[in-house]
Amino acid sequence: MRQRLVPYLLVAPSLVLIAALLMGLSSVLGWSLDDGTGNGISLAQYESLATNASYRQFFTSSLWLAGVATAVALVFGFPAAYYMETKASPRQRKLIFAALLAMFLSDYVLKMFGLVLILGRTGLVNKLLLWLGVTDEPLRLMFNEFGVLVGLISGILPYMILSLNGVIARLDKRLQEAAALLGAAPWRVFLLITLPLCVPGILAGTMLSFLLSLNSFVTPMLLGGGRVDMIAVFIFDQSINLGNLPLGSAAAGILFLISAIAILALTVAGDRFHRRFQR
Amino acid sequence: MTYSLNLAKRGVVLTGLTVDLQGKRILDEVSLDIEAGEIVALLGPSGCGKTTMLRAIAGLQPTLKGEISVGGKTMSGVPPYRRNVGMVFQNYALFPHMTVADNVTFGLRMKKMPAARRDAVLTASLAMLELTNLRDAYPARLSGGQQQRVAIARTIATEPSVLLLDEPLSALDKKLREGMRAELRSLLKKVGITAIIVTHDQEEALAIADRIAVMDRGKIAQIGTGAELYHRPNSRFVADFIGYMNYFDGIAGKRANGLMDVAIGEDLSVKVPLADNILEGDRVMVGVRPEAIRVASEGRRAEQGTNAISARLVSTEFLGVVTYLRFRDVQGIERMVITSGQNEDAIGNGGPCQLQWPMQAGIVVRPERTPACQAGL
Amino acid sequence: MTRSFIPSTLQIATFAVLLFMALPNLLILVISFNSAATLAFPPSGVSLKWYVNVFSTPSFAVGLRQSLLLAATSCVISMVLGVLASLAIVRFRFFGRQAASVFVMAPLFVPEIVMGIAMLLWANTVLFISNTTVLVVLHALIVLPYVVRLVVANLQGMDPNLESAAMLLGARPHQAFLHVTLPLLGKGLLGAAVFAIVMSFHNFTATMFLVGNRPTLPVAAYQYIRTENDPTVAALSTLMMLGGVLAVYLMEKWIGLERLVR
Repeated sequence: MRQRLVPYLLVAPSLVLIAALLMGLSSVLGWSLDDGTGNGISLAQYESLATNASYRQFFTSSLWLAGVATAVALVFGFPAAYYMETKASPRQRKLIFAALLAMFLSDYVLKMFGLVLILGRTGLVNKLLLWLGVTDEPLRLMFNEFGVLVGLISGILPYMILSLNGVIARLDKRLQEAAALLGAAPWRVFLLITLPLCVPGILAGTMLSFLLSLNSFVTPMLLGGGRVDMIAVFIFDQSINLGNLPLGSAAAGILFLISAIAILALTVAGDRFHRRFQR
Repeated sequence: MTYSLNLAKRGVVLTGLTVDLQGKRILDEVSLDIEAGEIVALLGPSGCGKTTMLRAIAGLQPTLKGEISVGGKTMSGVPPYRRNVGMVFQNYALFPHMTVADNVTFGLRMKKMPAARRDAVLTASLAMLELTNLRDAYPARLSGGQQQRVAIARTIATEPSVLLLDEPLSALDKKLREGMRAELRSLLKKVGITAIIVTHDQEEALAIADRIAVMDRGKIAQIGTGAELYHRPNSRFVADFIGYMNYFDGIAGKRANGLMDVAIGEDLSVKVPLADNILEGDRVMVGVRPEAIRVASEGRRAEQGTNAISARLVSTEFLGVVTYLRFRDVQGIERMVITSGQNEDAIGNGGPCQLQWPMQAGIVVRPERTPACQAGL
Repeated sequence: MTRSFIPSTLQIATFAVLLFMALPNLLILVISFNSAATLAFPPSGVSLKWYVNVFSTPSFAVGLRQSLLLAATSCVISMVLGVLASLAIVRFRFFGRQAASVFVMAPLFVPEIVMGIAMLLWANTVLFISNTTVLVVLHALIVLPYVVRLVVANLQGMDPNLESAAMLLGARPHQAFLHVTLPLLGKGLLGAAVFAIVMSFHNFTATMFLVGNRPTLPVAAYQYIRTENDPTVAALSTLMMLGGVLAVYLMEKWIGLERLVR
């Protein structure tokens, strides 16, 4: 009899901790339903977010930036992951892996700071361009969308690469060889065989990168200078600086919803893929 | 002080044991009576429930219905660490972070045995399994055979009532396996412990066990000594599982003098020893082991008490110790004969021959796989 | 097989990507030794004074202390909770097992900014709770999924028969855990602990909501960047990078890098 209780006892402490999070999230939900007077419940905050153009701008801007950053990370991350898993020597691979891991474990704030050093008016890129005579004046690479994009891409690349290298490593080379022997040119092998088989990793990496970009706070703050609209900044501004907790909570609620839906969609898609194509 | 291991022999009795796993019935009302000091093998194909039965006896698998008792004491509600049952796992499950000595004394430390006595038991156990000079080695450094001995020493040191072995030899390579079979049996007998061995290898079962329980889909099909199972299988399944069998389809006929007529073709019938559950008119199969058949030249008359059918030689396979001969009989069915070479003269030219076998050597079974009811304990 | 010295396009592309990712850190490294008090590139001279300055900046000292305390506490809490939960998930079959393992992963699904607000609001609803406690809870929450994931992977890699063997030799379940499971998990647990500490140490966005006047190191660095313009923070960053390299090295030694990212 006692035996049956054991697993529940083991899991309980963790679930108590998670309960705190759930309580907090429901508080957020509660605040987001505030109708502005502190007394009633309504969807006023959400309405306001949907109807007010400048509020909407934060969302569209974030989605756009996240999308672009993810696409670029995918395009550049895939070759890196491919090289790492198929062409690199074991030692090279280990080094790359260690480097990627080091990026995970490094400080994000300071990394953005490093990008400031690169993109700023007196930073590396501008100094280089001036020295080479390509431009006469330093370019505006920061405090705009470009800077934020660079920051986002820099942040999500490690995640993208590490999501991709798993599927690539598991590719059966013989499938590609069989295709080649059946007459397929390398680019066709890539498009018709390699790429489709990497779909689970691509989905996972894309989703992860997209969400990370969407929720990013430090990057738009440091590299956007407050001029680039992203949701996390909006939430912080409203809740803390302007004290408008209901509006901030509503935005947080929407953000959470987007994340949850995205993850759910990914899980379902991943399952579908597995069931249709994997043994 | 030298310590001699004292293992009290205990019998194991299973009554109506039933186990379900993930909605499937793995063991179906199994009953088994094992005497103290006996070695019993559970033999069967994958999925027949033999490992589940072993784990149930160990207390590692909860049961739905039925009783397990060891030495007369019921094991219901008794957790594994209080059953005093020893188990050797298929992959030995030696603790990789402990030396051989620490592995072997683990159970003794759990019992809080004082150090001096522990050491004496350790020395005795290591000596019994010829592991004395491996005392401080780590499992990763040991060969398969050595690991197996350590696993056995570890369980014996706690002086259990029963020893359970899950496919004890399957992790070893073929040559080693054959050598270890006799050693394992003699060790078990020397220690005198009751042992239950799970295996899918019929040769292993035949070599090591006193009795073998052949299992199929959660039930015991037949239990008996190796000879009993080989010569008097009660069903196709058991007959097929141990050795090869030539089968003839037929209809059971009259009985006379302890033999039954079976018509196996037009104008062709053979006599087989009686079987309990076969009545006149039943559809049956007659079975004959390949090594029981002698090849005679065509005209030769069958002696008293011998069945004979005509056949033509199709191919021979010389395998050193024996030769496999394949014949095709009048009905076009292939028959196999195993001979160690005595029949060469009769075979010669590929013409028609006679396949003869003593009537007593045949068996008759129903065409179904296993008998509807469980064989006796 | 001869290795050609001319790198293939793929190699160049990979190198470029890696360089892009590493460039900020490399640049910080270079600037930290600048003798001039600017962040301009290129540096005008070599000096170690900014490293000295790191140690004499009070906000950094406070920040370091806070971060370490927080990391250590949340590591201990999440490890204990995480190991217990992992045991349940891997070794037992019980109703709600699937749900429990999903719930434990919940913090991963919540955007950091949302978590910051949520915990801020939670702090307001729970009476008599100090700011520090809420921070600890927040960090334990953030780190828990990672710990569980790692420990579960380790447990699944362990031969389950080992625990059964121990029990049949007379060990009660908690004894089997102490004598067999724990020692074998040992290295994996160390790696998980290091991961937890690092994750907690570097957390910024969610932490920022709750710090008040005693910031953690990342928050202190952020504030410094926004106001000051000298390479002190570059020196700090380099020191933290060293810490990160050490962490990677330890994890490679203790778990082997493969296991971490599944």
